Amino acid sequence: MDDSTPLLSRSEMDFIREGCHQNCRVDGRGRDEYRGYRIVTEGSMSHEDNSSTSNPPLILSNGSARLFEAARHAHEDVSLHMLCSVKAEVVHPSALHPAQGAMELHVESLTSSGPNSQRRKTQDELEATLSKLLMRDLVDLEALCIVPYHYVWRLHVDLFVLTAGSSHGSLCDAASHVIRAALQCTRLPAITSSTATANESHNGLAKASFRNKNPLFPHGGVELMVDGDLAVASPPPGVNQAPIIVSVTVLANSEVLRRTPVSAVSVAPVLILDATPDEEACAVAQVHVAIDRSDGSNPLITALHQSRQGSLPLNVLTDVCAIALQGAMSAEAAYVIRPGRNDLGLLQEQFLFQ
Amino acid sequence: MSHDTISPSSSSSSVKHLVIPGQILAVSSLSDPNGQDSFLRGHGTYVEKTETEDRLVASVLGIVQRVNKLVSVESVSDGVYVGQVGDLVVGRITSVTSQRWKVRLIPHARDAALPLSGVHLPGGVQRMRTAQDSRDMRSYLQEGDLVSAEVHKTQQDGSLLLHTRSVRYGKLENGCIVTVPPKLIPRRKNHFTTILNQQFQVLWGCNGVIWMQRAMPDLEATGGPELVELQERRRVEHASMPLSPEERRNLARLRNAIECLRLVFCRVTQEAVEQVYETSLALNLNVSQMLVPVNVIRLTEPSRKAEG
Repeated sequence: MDDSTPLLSRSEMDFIREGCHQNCRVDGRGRDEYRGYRIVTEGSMSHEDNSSTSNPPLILSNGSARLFEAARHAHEDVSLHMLCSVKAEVVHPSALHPAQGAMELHVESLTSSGPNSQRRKTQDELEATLSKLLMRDLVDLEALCIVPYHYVWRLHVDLFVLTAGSSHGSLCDAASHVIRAALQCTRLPAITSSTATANESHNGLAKASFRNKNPLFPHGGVELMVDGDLAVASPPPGVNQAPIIVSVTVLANSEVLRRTPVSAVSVAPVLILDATPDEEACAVAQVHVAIDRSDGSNPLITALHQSRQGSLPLNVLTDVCAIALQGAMSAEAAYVIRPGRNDLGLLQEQFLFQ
Repeated sequence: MSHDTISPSSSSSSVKHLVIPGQILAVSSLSDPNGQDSFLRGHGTYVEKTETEDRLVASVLGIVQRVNKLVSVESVSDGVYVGQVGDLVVGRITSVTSQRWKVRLIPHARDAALPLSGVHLPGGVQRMRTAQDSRDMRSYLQEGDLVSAEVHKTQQDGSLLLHTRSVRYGKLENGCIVTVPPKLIPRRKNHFTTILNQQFQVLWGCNGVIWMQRAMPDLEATGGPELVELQERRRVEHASMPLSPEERRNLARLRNAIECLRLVFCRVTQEAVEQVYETSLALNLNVSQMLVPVNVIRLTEPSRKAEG
């Protein structure tokens, strides 16, 4: 057992497994119930009315979002708190994919508790899992191309886990939501390219001239015009198809069998959503399912990833997928995206109103 | 050089002063020993002596409390548990060594020790501990197990020695824990209570760990060795009998009631917990709905009013 899993007694594990089996977990949730989360993004999605446009969590990023647990105490660091920043820059494309934009994901865990090695491990794990599951589908990389062979957008997605708290179990799920929210409020300025060399300045257009240094095209001078007007800036294309991750935790049933009459028990393993660390400690396996819900009635599984060592029979995998597809709907409801002015805990906000 | 001080005479009780370590709270000049500006040093402060005056300096970040001349600083950090002899605590075994168990009372702090001589041997016999006993330690309590114990001794360096030499203490099974800041659990005469119509047994650990389980049948024995055996049998019976879905839901409701109080930083007492529990029933709230922020606010309203 590694450091990151909490130490539990055998009795507690039995208690948790039985609870999941009886559809009443330790905190009273059903098997497929989510805890509440809040995501705070930029003020308004449309920039027409300036009154509701307010500070995003990070003003120097092209897009940012902050996530925390709905029920949290303002002064404690036991609840989940994440921050995601998206920065965009114009770069030369790689030689391999000259007509594709680029995207980079970086995860940093800033949780104060626990040894350093453990923190780095969870950080690397999260980064690897998210990259595997999400990177291909977050945005339409081809549409991030400005001028093939010359200029493309590169998006830097930085995810900070400020406090992981009691829910570090479902970091992947939360991370996928906060990344998606940040990307959705990202604005890329409109860029037009021309090969003209004229130097006069247009009205309202900031003109930037990037001389092409690509040795392959010594004569191909391309000029970019960056439109500074936010009204024509658009989110990265394809972001509405960004998948979310639903982690399904698989609990063994053998322990349940040991303690209850055999007839009363179905032999299939117990599957739960939005697991707590304690529940993860009892799990044999965990499957992260990336789901694209852009087509509301017809969700699409875009990727699967299994973590933990436990083996998983193939027929369980179909159950897992079914649960994950159902869970994707309730996940949408559990992660409330709210354009907000502040990043206070919800409880604190409630008090301020009183 | 002028210091921003809060002199004992001028600080009014209605204003809460937040001070940082190193901040001077009061100054009394030595030239006038009977002066009005003398003070008594309370906890969270220390005295700095200079040639002309004594200065009372805060040693922790917190709020100044003053009772007549006694000035103390109540720390705002709530994670600190300072053990006192006789405290009931709930902890988790982290390691087993040759003569003692290490028990974690609060995370990221030094573990307390439970010596082999501090536990009842199975069967309740009183005798010297043998080498065989120390080999069998793991069969009695192993890593990860939860125990209730009493603080037996506080040592010079602040670490604690525990004992479980009573039928009420020992391994905890078939229930769940909630951890709250230790500050929220007031010291009471009785930390082992049966609440809500004898439904649950709750251990209010002074270290902030609350253990709850469904109530075992009453133990009305007269004492003697058979009591110990009876108790042991009951314990095993309780541990091996799974909870019914109904019992489990009620236990989860109790857990969430405590969680509600933790979220709003209210004292977690039997009365407050019972109140939240009953209110949640009266409002017809689903167990998992209790932790929705709006409901947390609604449920804990009386408790928050009571604390001001």
